[in-house]
Amino acid sequence: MKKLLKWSTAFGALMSLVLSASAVRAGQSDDTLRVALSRETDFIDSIHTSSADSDLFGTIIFDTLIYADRATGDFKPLLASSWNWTSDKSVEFKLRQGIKFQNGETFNADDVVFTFKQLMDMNNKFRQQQQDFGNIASVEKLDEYTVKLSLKQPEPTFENVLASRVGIWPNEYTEANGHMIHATKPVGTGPYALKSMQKGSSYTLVRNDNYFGGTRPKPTIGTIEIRVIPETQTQIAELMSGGIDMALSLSPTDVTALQGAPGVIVQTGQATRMYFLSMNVAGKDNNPLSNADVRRAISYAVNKPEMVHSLVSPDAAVLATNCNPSQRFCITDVKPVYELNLAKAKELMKTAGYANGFDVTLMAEANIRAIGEALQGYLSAIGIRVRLETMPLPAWRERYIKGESQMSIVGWGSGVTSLDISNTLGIFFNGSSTDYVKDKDITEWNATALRTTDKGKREELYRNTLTRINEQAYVLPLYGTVATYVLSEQVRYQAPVIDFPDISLAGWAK
Amino acid sequence: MLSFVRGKLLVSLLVLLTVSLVGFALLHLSGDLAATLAGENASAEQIEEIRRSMGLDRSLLAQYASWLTGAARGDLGTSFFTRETVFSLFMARIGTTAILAVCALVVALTISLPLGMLAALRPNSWLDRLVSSLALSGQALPSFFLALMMVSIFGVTLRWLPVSGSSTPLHYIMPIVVLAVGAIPALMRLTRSGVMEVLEQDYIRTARSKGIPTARIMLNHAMRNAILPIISLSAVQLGTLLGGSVIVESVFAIDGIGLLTYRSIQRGDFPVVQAMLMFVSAAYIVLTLLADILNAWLDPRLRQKR
Repeated sequence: MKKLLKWSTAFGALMSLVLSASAVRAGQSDDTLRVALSRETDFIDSIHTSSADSDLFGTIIFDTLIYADRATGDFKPLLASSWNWTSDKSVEFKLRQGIKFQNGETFNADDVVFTFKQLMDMNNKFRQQQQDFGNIASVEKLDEYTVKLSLKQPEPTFENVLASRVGIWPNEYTEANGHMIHATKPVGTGPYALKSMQKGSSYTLVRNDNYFGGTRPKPTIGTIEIRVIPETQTQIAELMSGGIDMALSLSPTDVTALQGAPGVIVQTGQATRMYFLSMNVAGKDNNPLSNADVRRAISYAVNKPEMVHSLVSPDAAVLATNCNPSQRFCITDVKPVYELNLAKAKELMKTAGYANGFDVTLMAEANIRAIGEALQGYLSAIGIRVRLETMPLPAWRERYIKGESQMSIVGWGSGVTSLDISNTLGIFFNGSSTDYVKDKDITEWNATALRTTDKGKREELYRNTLTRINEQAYVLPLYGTVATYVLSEQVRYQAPVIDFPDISLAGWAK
Repeated sequence: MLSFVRGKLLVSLLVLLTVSLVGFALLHLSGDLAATLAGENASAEQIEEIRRSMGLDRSLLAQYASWLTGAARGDLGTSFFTRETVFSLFMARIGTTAILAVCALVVALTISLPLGMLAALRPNSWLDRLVSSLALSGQALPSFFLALMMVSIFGVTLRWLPVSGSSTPLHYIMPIVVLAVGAIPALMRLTRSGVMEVLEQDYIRTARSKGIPTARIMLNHAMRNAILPIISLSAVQLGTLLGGSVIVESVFAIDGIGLLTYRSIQRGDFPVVQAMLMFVSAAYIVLTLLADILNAWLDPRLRQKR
């Protein structure tokens, strides 16, 4: 009897421990939003990091001069109360007054000038520094709350950079500690401040109660806890058991398991990332892909809607032209349009002299193997025998840059800079080593468009490019990816129209 | 005894050196580190710039030489990815992994030693069969599956245990169980076969005929001999466990050595991978060396053999 008593006491103690553990879970009861990320971040500010996931932190810790509205995609004032392009190469920012950094420093023109000077100093070796900030000629303080920025050449996409990567640093704090301090102890003006982190596994951010609000509303949730959970199945289990309230990096396939799960809401939005089939069109002998009719045949042989809707997501965009419709200047009404037409495809193969088909190697990232297999199937119908080779992204990129790809499924773009068509067309149609087309006209049109601020002219240039790509079937545009936002029903969060979440906008549903 | 240890140490050092050379070569031949490091949206020019700044454009031998001289001074380098020193990355994680490893081994030994002994005492009894089939299923069960089943039952359905993380002791229960289940079968079978073999020896028969109780025979006579291979196996298993389990650490979102190594391999973070490789082999070597010494102390015959 004594023994039984001892056991039951022990069991009771254990159970109360267990129950106390489950009590701390529910997010709303302790005003903590628990968010899961799949990948570890290297640095938590947008300047130092190399991963798009980290932008999640930078976005809520720092404020940019202008803000990309998550509901419309439009640019709105944030730290700048207004901005005015005085010529196509210079812009004046009127700064908002009465704002304090999270450490108490007052925000003014000195901070903005200091931040831009850091970005312009190429010795700092920031990620994509040359690409994003290399065009800045000078920055100057006109008065306490006015800053003038000049560019070397017109850059119509510069606002994308301003709205994503340029979180303003406090000049005194940064000067005293070096810019790397923001990678570990960031101080911004944003709606949340970093309280603590266990690098690589968990991050705790607390609400900035002095946040100025306005374009970007005052945050409502007290604490945000972001945890790295590598395994998607574990994220799903956490969502179902109430351990986390929000998962931002699940794929559309992952979330099918969660459709209809009690207490869980699945939202999807268009992402800016897109995939296309790249072909090596270089005019070497015996290269069937250098023949435009062969490429057209390939374009007619693939049932894109079937492939995309069943393998990617029913919500994924099927691309008619080589851009994602969620990008600015993505023109979709371009002729010719390639829809499944096997008879025509076979006819074209015959005209090109490949009635019996040919052998080709298709390279793809390992995680989109299914798409590669689908293409393999479609192309076999017109006699093309595809050998599919999947590999990790870095290995693929290495071979692609060396010009070793015959055919590749290429995925590209993420974040605010991908919001403009130049992000995709730029690198694959600019005459560089990643350009497998090297069409002189296209290279020229793209280069001109990159420095053209007149919207009509820019649109015309991109229309030329996209038309030429389709006429020559240089590439086969495939699909735009889908961003998923999985929430517990306690949380209210509107899926953003751009693939660049701002979780400071989340609130409790009730 | 001293020359025994000295000999072992020399061999260990040579093994370490070989591992470092082979590992270094394999890592560098496995792909273009600069391309991996440059990140997803990098251009060819950016990749070249990184190659230069990281010294990856030098010859393999020159790179190995500078790594080795650094390592000899205790400088294992800096992570390409987080720019923290490899040492601090390691120190931040080894605690968690060590707790998991030691607890899992202790749990595994507490279960497998008595069960193995009981099975050996009654070969072919129902108990023996039960133990053997448990061992078999433990071995056949992939830890990934076991981990997810436990998450689904104890985390999602019953909600007794937290699903993932490592912030409270409760978070460690499921990972320890999964790791222990993986370690139990081999330990249990080794205990069973070792004890069975010893029980057939003449001196056990003599002891029995002298009327010594079974329990004392088991502990004082049988185990003393049967334990030697178990110590060696435990050392090897602890070595494996200290290297961290990628599966357990990733399913339970525990930021330990296994996950660090796995992620570092994925992103080509060469200094970290190389250091982890060295750590795992060093742990193996030290632990087997300790096991050898322990065995030699327990069994004087081994000291003479060399």
